Amino acid sequence: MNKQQILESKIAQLCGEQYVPIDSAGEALIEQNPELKQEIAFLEAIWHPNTVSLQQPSADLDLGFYKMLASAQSAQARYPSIPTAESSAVSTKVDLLFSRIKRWFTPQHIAQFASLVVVFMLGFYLNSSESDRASSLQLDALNEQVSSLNTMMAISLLQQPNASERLAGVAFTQKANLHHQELSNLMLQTLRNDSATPVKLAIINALSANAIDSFELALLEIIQAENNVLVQIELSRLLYSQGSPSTIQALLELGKQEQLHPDLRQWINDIKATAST
Amino acid sequence: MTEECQLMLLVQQGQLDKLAPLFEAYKVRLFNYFLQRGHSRSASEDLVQETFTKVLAYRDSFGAQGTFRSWLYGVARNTAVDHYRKHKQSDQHESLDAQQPSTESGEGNDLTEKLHKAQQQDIFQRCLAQISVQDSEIILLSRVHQLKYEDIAMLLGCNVNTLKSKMQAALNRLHQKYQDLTNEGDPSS
Repeated sequence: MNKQQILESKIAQLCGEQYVPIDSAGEALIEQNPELKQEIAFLEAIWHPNTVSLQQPSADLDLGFYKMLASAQSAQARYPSIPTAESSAVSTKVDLLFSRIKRWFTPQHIAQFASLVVVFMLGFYLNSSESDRASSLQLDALNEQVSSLNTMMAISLLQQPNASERLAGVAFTQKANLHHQELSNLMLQTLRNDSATPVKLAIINALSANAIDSFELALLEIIQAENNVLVQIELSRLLYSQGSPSTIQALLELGKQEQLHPDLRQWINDIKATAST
Repeated sequence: MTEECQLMLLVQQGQLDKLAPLFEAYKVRLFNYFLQRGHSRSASEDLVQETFTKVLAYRDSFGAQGTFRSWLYGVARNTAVDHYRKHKQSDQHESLDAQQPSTESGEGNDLTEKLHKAQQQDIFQRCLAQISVQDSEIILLSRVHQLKYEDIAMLLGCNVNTLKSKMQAALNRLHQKYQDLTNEGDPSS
């Protein structure tokens, strides 16, 4: 046994591990080597019970642990299938896979696919049939289908929680029938309540491409209730350019209101001055 | 299978109250494990609590391939690492001198024996404080926390033979520090 093996055996013995007992040659080596003897004495001293003392934690630790355990038990009683961190990690992966698959079936993707099918069918009918009255009727019917599909899509997207999806919904309204009652109501409601200014501005832009005679009064009300001066000015511009004379008059009257935003009041007064010259 | 493993498997199956005996068996040792890593008393108590919260949260990851003790110390070690990352700037590490005297009852009633014991503990702590964290961790896990070679090797991510060499080298460095300290205190040297 050499010095290395002797020390290894001693440490294993002190650690309570399996060890090869020191043989007589090893004992003789220890006797002859005071340095080795000292090293073994040091190891024995380290493993002496006196060298280690454990400090006691305060009662707060017990209190905290049992409180945590009680709340875990009550949570388990309420929700017996409550997932652990490990199992929820697995379920997160499954959820991720499902959410990816789900993303393929968003209203936007379905609409794109449906539009493609309709356009394909349109092309097919145009090429295959004679341009007689019957095919013209079929074409009108298909156009109506496309329009109602776009209306449906616009309604669906305008109700999405994500602002970019609502913006996509506004884009669909340009190809949809704006006189559809549900769609026009939804657009006005979005214009009143949406938190995103770009969505509101996009709706104003979409409205400007159509006749607004049926919305004029509602738009006038929205101008007064709106907090964002940019939206107020854009709405005023829309009413001033496309509104009926009575609506334009009502708009110009707004310029006298003291509580109106100074920028909007200034804008209306500028318009008034231009109109009078 | 040890009794601890059986208790932990019951915790895994939903008998959360079985965590209490495991907490009682390990709270003092874990508290001292964190203290020995240089955390303050209050931080060490928080870390013990956090360790057991993780034991509960990650109970499904406990497997029968290792001992409960090695798994628990693995969780404790990761908790300490996370804590260090989060509180790099703010954590107040307590010096060994500031630690409270032990409350563990010893058999020595006589004053000389107590003084001798205190002196031995003091030297051991001072030597440990002067070697690297890696060396002291290996020694403490074996000496104080009584983990087997296999468990420590698993915890540190090495094989048992490497651990044996590391242990021997760490004890050798501890011995060197001890000699340096005793020579400093000895005016004849």
